[in-house]
Amino acid sequence: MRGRRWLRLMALLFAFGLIAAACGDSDDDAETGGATDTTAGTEETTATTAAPEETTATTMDDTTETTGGAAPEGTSIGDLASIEEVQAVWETERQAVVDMLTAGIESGEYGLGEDGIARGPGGYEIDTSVCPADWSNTAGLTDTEVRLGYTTAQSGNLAAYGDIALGMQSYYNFINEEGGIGGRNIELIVKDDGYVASQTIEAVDELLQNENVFAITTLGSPNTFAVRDTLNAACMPQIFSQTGHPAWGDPMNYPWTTGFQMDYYTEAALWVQWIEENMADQAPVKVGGLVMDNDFGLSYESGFEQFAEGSDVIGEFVVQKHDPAAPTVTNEVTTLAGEDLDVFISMTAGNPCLLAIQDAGRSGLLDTVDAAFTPSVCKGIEAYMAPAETAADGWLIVGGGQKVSTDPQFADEPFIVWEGERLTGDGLDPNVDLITTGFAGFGWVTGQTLLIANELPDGLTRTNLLLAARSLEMSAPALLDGITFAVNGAEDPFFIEGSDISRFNATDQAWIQEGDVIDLNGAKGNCAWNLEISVCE
Amino acid sequence: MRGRRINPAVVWLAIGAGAVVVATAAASLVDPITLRSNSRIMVLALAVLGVVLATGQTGLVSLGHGAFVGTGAFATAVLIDDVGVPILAAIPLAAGVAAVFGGLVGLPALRLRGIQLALVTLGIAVVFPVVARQYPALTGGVTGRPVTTTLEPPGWMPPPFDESGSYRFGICVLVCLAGFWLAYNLVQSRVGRAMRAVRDDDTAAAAYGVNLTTTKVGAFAFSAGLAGVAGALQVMLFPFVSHDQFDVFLSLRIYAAAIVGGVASIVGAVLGVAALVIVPALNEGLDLLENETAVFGLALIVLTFVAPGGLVELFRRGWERWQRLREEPPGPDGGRPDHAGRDETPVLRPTVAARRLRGQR
Amino acid sequence: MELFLQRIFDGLFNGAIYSSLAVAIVITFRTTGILNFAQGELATFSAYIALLLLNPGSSSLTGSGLVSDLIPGTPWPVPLAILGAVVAGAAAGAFVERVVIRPLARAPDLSVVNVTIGLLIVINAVVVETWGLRGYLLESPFPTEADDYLGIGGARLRLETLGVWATLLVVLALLGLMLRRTRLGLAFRAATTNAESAELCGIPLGRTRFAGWVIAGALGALAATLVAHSVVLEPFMMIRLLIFSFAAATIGGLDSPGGAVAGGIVIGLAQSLVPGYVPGIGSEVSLVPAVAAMLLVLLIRPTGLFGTRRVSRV
Repeated sequence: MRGRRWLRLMALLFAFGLIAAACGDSDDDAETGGATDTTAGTEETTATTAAPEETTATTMDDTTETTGGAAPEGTSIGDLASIEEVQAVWETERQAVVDMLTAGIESGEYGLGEDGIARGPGGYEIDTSVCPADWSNTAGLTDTEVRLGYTTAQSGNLAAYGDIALGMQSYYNFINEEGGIGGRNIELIVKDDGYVASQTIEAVDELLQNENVFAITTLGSPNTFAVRDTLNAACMPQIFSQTGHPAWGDPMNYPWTTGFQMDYYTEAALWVQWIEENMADQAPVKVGGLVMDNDFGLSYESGFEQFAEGSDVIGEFVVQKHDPAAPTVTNEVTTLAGEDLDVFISMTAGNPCLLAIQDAGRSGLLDTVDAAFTPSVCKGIEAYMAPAETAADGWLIVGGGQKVSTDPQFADEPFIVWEGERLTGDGLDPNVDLITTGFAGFGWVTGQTLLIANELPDGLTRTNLLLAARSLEMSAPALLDGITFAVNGAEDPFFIEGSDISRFNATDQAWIQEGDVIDLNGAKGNCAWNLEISVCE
Repeated sequence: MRGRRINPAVVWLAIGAGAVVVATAAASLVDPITLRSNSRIMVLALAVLGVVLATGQTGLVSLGHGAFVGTGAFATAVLIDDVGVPILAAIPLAAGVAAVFGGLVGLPALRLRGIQLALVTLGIAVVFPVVARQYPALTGGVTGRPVTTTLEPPGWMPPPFDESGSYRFGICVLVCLAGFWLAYNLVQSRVGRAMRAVRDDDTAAAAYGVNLTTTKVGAFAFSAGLAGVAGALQVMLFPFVSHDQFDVFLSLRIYAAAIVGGVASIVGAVLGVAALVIVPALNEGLDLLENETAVFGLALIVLTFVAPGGLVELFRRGWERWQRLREEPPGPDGGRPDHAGRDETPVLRPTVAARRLRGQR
Repeated sequence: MELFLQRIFDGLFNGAIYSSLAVAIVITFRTTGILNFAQGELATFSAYIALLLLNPGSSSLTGSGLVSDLIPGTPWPVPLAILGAVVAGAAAGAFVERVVIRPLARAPDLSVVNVTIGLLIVINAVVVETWGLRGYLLESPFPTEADDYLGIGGARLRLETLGVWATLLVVLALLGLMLRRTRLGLAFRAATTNAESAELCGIPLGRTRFAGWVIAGALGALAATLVAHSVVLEPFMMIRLLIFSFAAATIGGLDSPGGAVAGGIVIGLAQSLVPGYVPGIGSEVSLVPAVAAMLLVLLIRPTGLFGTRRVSRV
């Protein structure tokens, strides 16, 4: 008896010892995680890089505004002759923002005031007096480094997103070669969270406590949500979040958090816009949506509802939600097919993208509607369009407004060429979408913002970083002409609010742009996301 | 039991208090991140302990304990943020909610054979996140809800407990010890014997006067309550709950940990969770297989052959072998301690025919 | 009316999907008394073999060169590829039975359940490693163009649905024939009814069990390849279906193949009709009526609608 008791006690202590000594690997998740939700998470960061020629966008009438900051004149950067010229344009654009902000700071209107409140254009404010006692505006900066933290999925089902980091690093390599940010090199510290929100919490804690970072970027909607409160309470910039959720456009409540890519609300607004333009004579139009039951799908749904509300053309919007883990969406599509729709919009992601197209064809839905949209995250031809064969023909998409680097019509543009050279030089494949997204999208914008912030009075500080980020207006390298890349403080927190509309040609297996790009820059209001009802308020 | 002069409860209390202090002190030397990771592991051990009690001791297969963890977690979030209950008080309340849920799930157990109960619990595990996200006011719906109330140490706490990370770790250790102590006492008691009787042959047990209803439902409720505590503690450590944290894979992981550790053994719960941590770490270190889930699946299979009683059985065999080497030849009964069936791997009650089909008597 | 009919047809198609895996599960249970949690994964694996035969370049490990060299004539026509998958499924079933299940012949049931769960995890991981997470659509041997349907009462009954059901019913008929008319079938029935006596009569239990796993493996493979046109073929394909197939098998009775089919129909119809006609339950929670149906049957008649009742003797 005693022997066994003793054995047990030893085993218990041994086990606790093991646990205490466990090398911190929190992985009690051999998280295969995805069966239920993989498909949910593939919000491909359709990060777009803008090459607008002018701020006044094209087709769309009065929905665009010129935002604060001098708008560069001149041709699209895609038409320039060399990368040096492109860099020169950016330098001019950066200087314009620097000048605008500096003028404001010197006049006392902007900048970090005595009261601890940093002010920016468009009514933007950050109250630093509520920051933690040990907070510093220059934490994360050493003599030689600007330390940036980044959480992303490098393992698990969505590990492909890890490629974005590679592109970002490559762009930062370029910046560092050119002297860095005022002599400091950008140091990117990447943490893997496997796209699991609770792991993001851990990763962010590590960054906050151990890694001394200047700013943090998070990837994924649930992940960004999970740490948004913590980061804002810690007065840590959560910049250029890599997710399409509209909730990051909320500078009033979350001043430290920004988004970057075209968000789902913009996409929904563009759907509404397209319908109003192209189907006005069929009013009232009945629209049906197949919505994935997760934050991704629901934000599409609430976005569409909001924008459709004031529309004269759209009469009714009906919805069928589906379980992200379900093997088929046939029942939902059948129900929608019985609704006599004019327009069908798929608001889903992953494999259901394909299933929706297939079922829409089979159920006869495609025969009765005048237009069918598939969402931007379902753009992948090989995975989502090709297998559906003829049923995929004619589907519309809000393409995301990108200049795809593998598209022959952009292949000669100076930036695309230079991007290819830089990436190849770093041992990366420039044909991989996510890598170029990291390079031309997130890497580029972070680099430009840092450069701007460094030139402001007081130099590179966290508040200056955010002021710069909230005042950007530049020619983003891979955005289609006509799409503005601009924000304006608290008035317009969304960087990219425009896109192309394209139609799929099943014979050529390609997305063909239809009409001009639609730019809704500044047209949307801010988004205070209500978690309970999944709506921007 | 006769001749004992010191009340075992006091001994345990002393050990417990000592362990808490020692563990927390040691842990405070570790950085807060690791501390929290370790806290989380410990917390999982409670859920695994739940499976040990339900499956290992009472023979009720539970593939759905993740749902009870989730129930405890959501209940805690609602209690502390919406209702304003202090966190420490919320833990037992949340456990109660989970226990009630567990009791309800245990009701069908009265009528069902092992494999059917397994399917019921699997169904619950699969359905739980789906249902959870339909009630965003409670659960944060599809996005999940950040929890704003955090547990801070009261001002009078001496170091190392005055630091919130260490304080929470200490609370975890305390609660876990309490849970294990409760479980241990349960297993040693008459109720425990009744549970094992039900496990081994419930018809016979009923014939001998064991109340099947109270035993089965009670065991399930208690084990669900433990899992609920795990959920509550998790919320205390990680202030964010979301439906996708409590999917079927969580249930399978908890179950697998229980099996690997030794499904009928309380110590096995700890070993199983340790394995959940060490195996992936080893895998990364030795770079065996890319997919760490696969490693765990393999471990499950291999252990079933080598040591169905789990790691506990392996340890025991090793211990006995070592003892035999040190001692003189054993007495007539082989010197093997009488386990009284306590830690035996249970027989999942098969149908008579099925048993015969596999050549068992 | 046509919406109602369409929902019936949808339910029948989904039902076919669930039934086909459920039948495989039932065969294993009936002949060996084991609920095989890994049945779906074996089936998924077999479907990927079909993919390999249809599209040799799809695997990251083998690449088109290796498969084309080893197996003549790739890419194969669809029926042959399915046959190949069925053979692979049978082989996989045989392998698992010999290597993993047989040594556990005298082990408690719980051990075997645990092993099948372990297998589920391992096979899933292997599939993920080899083929990645991408989804594929397998070609179906049935006509699957958008206009391949019978118009009935305004609703569309797809030819694919008819094809899958026809296959299922043929399989069921063959199974029934086998059980009633062949020695193997006799062995199955004897082994299930009274294993000891069966053994005394000289019926080789080991071989019977082996045959059961082989047949179940083949059936699962057939199921997976047929449905992988409407359900995307990806590593978690069968895991998504597993709960539905278990529910179907449970409802029908775990030892009745015909019951599995009936159960599949029940689940499929519950999924398409309940969200349509019961207020408050939307499609996004269609899992709930399915599981609820399973729970209901388990509570009222635990051995299923068509299963044989068991008496437990002390």
